[in-house]
Amino acid sequence: MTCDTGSYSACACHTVVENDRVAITALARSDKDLNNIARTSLAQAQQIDWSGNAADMYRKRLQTFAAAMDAYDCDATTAARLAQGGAS
Amino acid sequence: MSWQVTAHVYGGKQSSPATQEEYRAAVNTLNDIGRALRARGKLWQQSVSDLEQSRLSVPSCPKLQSGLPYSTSGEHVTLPYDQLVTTCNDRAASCESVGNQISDLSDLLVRAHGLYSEAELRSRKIFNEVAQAATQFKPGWATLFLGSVAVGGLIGSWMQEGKVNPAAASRATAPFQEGYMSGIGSLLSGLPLGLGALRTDEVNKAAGNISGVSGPVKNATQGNKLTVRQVESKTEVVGSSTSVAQSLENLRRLGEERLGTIELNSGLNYATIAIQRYERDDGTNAWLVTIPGTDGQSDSPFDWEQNVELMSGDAEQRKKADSARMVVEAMKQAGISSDEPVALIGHSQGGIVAAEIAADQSEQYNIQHVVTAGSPVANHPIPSKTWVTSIEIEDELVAALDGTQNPSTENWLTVRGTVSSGPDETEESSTPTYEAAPVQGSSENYELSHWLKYHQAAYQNASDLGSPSVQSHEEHFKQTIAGTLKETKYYEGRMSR
Repeated sequence: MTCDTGSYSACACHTVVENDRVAITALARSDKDLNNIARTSLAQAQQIDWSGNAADMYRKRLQTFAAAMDAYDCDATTAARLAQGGAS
Repeated sequence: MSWQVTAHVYGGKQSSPATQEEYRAAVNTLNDIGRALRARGKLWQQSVSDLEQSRLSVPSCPKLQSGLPYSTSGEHVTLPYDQLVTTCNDRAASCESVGNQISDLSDLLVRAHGLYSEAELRSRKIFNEVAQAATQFKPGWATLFLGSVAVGGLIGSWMQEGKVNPAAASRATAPFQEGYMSGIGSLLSGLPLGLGALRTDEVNKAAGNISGVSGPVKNATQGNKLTVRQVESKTEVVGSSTSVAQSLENLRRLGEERLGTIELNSGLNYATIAIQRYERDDGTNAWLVTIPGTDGQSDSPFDWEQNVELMSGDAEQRKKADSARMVVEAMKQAGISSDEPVALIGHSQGGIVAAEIAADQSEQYNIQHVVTAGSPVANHPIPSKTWVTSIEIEDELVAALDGTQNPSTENWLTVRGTVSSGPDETEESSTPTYEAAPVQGSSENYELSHWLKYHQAAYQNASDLGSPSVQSHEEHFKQTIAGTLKETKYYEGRMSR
């Protein structure tokens, strides 16, 4: 691609930035959807009848992962905001 | 580096079909989420590449390449590419890592509940039958093949450790051991080719044929007069127990002390077993018999040849084995009556003796539970009233000498351990993952996994998994010897002419 510094509409940078915006925003949005599904599934997986050392560790880690999904939502939001041209 | 053992559980009391279905659903859910997260991680990773390419895609636009959207640059635009790339990279790594960890939890769930154990057993049976038929059809080629694999293992150990380590040969040949033994058993027992698929006791028939010769030869050289006497221990070697794990530790202590590999200063010698009396609240007795393995001493009832007799498919031959005779005699001297509950625990030959007594002395004694560690007992006709907990290590040749897998029933539980190298001490996490249990005191090099510490680690890992099968067997063992330990007696056996 080429850049005509004298013409706003002719420079390809606008197209490139817009495409990246759309791609990252879409990825961030679907990421949140996946995180929601993961949260629900992880909660279901905790309900099984199982006891013992490994079972305790299993539930603890599932809870940790479920909590991590909230942080991942933030990461996705951050990515989307950056893609819109804002600072993190 | 040290060694660790991952346990797989076969047989024992299974959960209801509905509960198993719940476990499977949870496994599928976790696998789906794990896969989806890993796929998502790849998309984020791909977005990093795309962003880096985009940034450079207009070479004549310095604004786009700058990645500084707030700097003044006329009418051109850009995105904060550095920050975006960092965020996308972090997201990719998180997705990959969490996806893998969730899949690991799914594997743990599968192992804990033996969800696919029946399918694994069927696959192994088919593999063993093919190996058996091939061995029986072309024994020379099969031996050459197995020998080559063993040599490959030895060379590998030489390259890795700088010396030839026999344990590496056992590890390399592990997948073929049962099938090969079964094939050789078929040959020695004169079984027509192809009939091996219909039976599992080829090795025991062959052992019967061999012991028909080896038994009399042994009697002629070692003598057939068995003397069993009670001996005193200066220190406590076999202590009180309320669990399989504690009893395994007691078994190891007695086994190593009588061989002098540990120093407990007990004065106990080879061919010594322990018999403990537990008194229940109602005043009745329960008994625990602890039986170590082969000691290889020339006047010992636990010498090498007795293993062959114990493995015979013929009950009368098995009963003649000196080690079995010694334990039965000691049980008689200890005063165990026919209606009192008895648990037997044995390592290697000791486990075969335990299986023999459970199979052949079921009228004389009330054997309620047998625990074997590293013992080839798959074909011993143990009555269903006796619960059997077998612990075997995948690459220990001894447990494969029966040429087949143990029965997988509610009363017969097999914990099968797989050895792998453990994490370096610096890598160890403070939170255990229960993927494996460490082998206490293991060396850095390959070592024979027939050592009881490997079985202890396998059982530890199986217990940590919280498998209902293991829990029910543990509870049964505990109930069998429930009570207060009242006495521990040690008995020593000697052979003479």
